[in-house]
Amino acid sequence: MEQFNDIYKQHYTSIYRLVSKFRVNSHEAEDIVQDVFVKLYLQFNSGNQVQYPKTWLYKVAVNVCINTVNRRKETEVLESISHLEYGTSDSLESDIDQNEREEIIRSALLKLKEQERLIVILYSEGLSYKEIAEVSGVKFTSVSQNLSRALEKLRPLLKNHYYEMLNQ
Amino acid sequence: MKCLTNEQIQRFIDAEMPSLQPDQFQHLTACASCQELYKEQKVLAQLIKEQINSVAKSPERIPEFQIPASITPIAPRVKRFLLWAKVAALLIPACFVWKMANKPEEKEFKPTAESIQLYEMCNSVDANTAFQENMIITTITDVNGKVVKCGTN
Repeated sequence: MEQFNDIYKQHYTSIYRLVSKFRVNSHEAEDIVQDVFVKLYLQFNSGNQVQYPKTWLYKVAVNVCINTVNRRKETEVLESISHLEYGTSDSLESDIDQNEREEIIRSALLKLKEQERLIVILYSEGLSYKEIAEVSGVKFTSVSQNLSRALEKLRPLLKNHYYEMLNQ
Repeated sequence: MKCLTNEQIQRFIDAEMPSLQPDQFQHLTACASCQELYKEQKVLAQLIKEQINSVAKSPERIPEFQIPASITPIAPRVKRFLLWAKVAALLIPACFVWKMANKPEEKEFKPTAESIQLYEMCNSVDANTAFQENMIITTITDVNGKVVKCGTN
């Protein structure tokens, strides 16, 4: 179990950050991450080898997140949860700014198709195209196509930030 | 040469183009429109990465991993049993296939003329007489038609 503990310490933060990019609150994020590592623990416990733990964890985390978000959609209307329970900063004003910014990004992501959204999120994690293909289940050759299409769709949605940065 | 597509430029930005053809590379360095697209797309990709990462939260601390009470570690004995079950699951079908492959061919039933005559003699039943008055001889023959056992009513 030493190997499991090493993987847990090494990947906990990155999996938590990945999960928090989906529309889940802090409690859900913690539960999902715990759930993902329990699944990994069971794999180790049953003697199964996990060849690439990073890809495996990302894959399971993504699936659990999608299931959680879809389950919520069935029971309640999607509401803005980005600002809920994710810690507090000293200034209320900066909190509001941050929340607004987050809401713009989350809304922009929601306008993408589920597969494109997933690819963009994994891309933001710095995964290679091969890893993105393995985690998302999209063909390797289609990753770049989906990615460039998704980025093009996001361009007008984030245009204010985009033009500011381009003119710098 | 035709200008590069958004997809090709994106792959180039992410260093995911396995082999950029020399003419494509030459085009990219010479074409102002492609260079502009490359610059724009690079900024866009970077910006989107940053924006999405700004939404991500880091955990306050890494909690100790708690094994849920419902999960009990598999005992070595159960593990051994599972191993043997796997071995059996492989061996049983293998044995069955082996046995089927090596099944002895069935011999064709070819009684001799003498055997047939003897059989007919023993089993001739007169249909015009009562059943009880007929002597029925039951014989058991081997594959060659040789009588191995004989009995009467």
